[in-house]
Amino acid sequence: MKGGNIEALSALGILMIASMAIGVYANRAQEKGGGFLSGYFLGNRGLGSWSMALTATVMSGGTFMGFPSLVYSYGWVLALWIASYMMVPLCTFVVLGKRIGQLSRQTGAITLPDLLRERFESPRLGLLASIVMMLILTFGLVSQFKAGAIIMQLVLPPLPGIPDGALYLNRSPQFLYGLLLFSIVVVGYTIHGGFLAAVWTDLFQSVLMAIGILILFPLALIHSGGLERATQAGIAAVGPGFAYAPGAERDFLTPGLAFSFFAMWSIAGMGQPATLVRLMAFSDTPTLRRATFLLGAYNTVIYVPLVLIFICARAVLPNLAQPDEVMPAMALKVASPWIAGLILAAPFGAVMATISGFLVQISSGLVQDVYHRFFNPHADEATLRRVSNLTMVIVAIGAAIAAIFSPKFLQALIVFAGGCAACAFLVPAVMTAFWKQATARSAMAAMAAGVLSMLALYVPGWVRNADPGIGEKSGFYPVYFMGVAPFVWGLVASIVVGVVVTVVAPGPPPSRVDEFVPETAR
Amino acid sequence: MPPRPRHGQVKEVLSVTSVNGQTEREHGICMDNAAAVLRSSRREATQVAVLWVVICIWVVGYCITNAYRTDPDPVLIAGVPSWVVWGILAPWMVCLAATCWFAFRGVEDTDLGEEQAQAGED
Repeated sequence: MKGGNIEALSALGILMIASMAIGVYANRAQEKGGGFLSGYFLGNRGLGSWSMALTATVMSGGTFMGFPSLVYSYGWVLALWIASYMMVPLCTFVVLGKRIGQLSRQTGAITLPDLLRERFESPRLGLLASIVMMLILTFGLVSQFKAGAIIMQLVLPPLPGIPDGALYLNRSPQFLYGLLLFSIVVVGYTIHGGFLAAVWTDLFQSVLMAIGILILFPLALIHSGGLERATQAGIAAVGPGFAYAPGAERDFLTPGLAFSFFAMWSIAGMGQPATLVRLMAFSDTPTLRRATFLLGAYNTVIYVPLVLIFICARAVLPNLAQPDEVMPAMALKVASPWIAGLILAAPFGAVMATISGFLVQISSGLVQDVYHRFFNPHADEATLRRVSNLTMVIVAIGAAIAAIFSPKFLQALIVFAGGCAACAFLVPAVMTAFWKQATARSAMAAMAAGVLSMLALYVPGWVRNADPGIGEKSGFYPVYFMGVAPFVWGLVASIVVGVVVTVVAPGPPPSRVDEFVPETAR
Repeated sequence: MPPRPRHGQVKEVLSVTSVNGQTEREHGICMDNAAAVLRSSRREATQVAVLWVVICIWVVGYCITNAYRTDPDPVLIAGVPSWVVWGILAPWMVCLAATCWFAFRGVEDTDLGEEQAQAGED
């Protein structure tokens, strides 16, 4: 896609203006009830069904830019790769939703570390959770800033007076001023609107994406001549592996990885801090039920057609040099430039919403869990607001600078960070919700075991840097012990260590069990 | 700043200051409600876990058996490889039906309780 595409640029401009407007509206809404902390960081626990359904799962720009390129490259096996999205609504909302919602109200928690600290009465656990969460989110934040700048680079025109191909700090001028513009907008509306702005922009882009996909799907079918012709075109281009597992031209999804990714998408989502904090923010159980249904319908409408559209792309664009650009290229080929602009605007919106959500969480971690708790417990609302704003600006500047200098293997770090988050928080969250014998010690042990197991499988792989021949081709590879992804081993380690420490170590005082896990109802 | 009252402590104080038995009944209702949320959540989580295992065996098992081959002339159903239809789309529809069941019947509506003072205020 060439820079200076006026329709796509206009679509991004409209999206940015809409996001700013959402920030202003969110600011008014969160000031209507509750205090600053609860309103700004949790939307006064008032999330509705649509906001819950379309923002609580793991969707970012990568979902809509990276996934299509994988379908185009490896073929039908990607249907198996994302198959467990069919279970995501039930795993995400039904398993932990009610208990996390109840316990967060009971403890007054507004962040995930808050919840763990209060449930287990352990400041150490809260601090550990804050540190782990902020480290993990920082990895994600840098990559999202980079993704946003890359999209801006695709559509921004060259600056007058600057020769084509000029590089500053090893980046194009469009990348740099795109990053600056993008950062100002996203930080601006996040500071103004807080948690609700992050959630509502996420909702907005999710709806935009659904509209784009539903327009693109029939057009792709018509232009490709149907799925059968597209499949045959794929086989002709890259061999029969296009229609089978483990994928075309590479053992992309071996049986071990097929199981790993089935577990990863459905289970890992439950342990993401962004998901857990939304489970603390919904208004009531009917909202949770409706959100479960909406997410089930949304995933069906989005992910199944996404696979089919980019299978069709093999017939429409048989030899694309850069598979990463298949989504905008396909949109421009089969639809009008304005529809292409809309489709490009959706992943851009997803990137903005992800950054916004991460900024709110990092800020809430630093302000609520560190500053307010350890440095200034008596801070008034105005002070907390100033500290929160300053924190977001500093974190965003740091992430934007890191995005300029980020290494090529950053995507591998992001996959590592997402898996790490699940291995760190899922087992402690389940213990928090259901296990009366669980203690702060067992939650910390489970958290540490999950993170350390992930490190033990990633670091040797990065040091050795040899292609194992399976999985996605990238710059850096983890160790696939027994052909299984590190996330699965991390989760197994977290479960085993958590259970052993809970069973062996002294249990919690009975008063805490009665308070938080009241088994004996009248 | 007064210490943040805990859930249990609030109920304790209410019971002691009760003059007509009303607050003790409220305490009982509150505890009943908390236990009901726990019980229904456990039941629903167990049902989802069982469904997850069944769907995982269906999807991964069927696909491992039928998708790992390289036939140059694959069996297609409406242009979709048959292993995708029976190994992914069919269980997806079952899951969607199960999701509807949970959303409209399976998940019990419960009172999640009152908001307590914020955790940072103690």
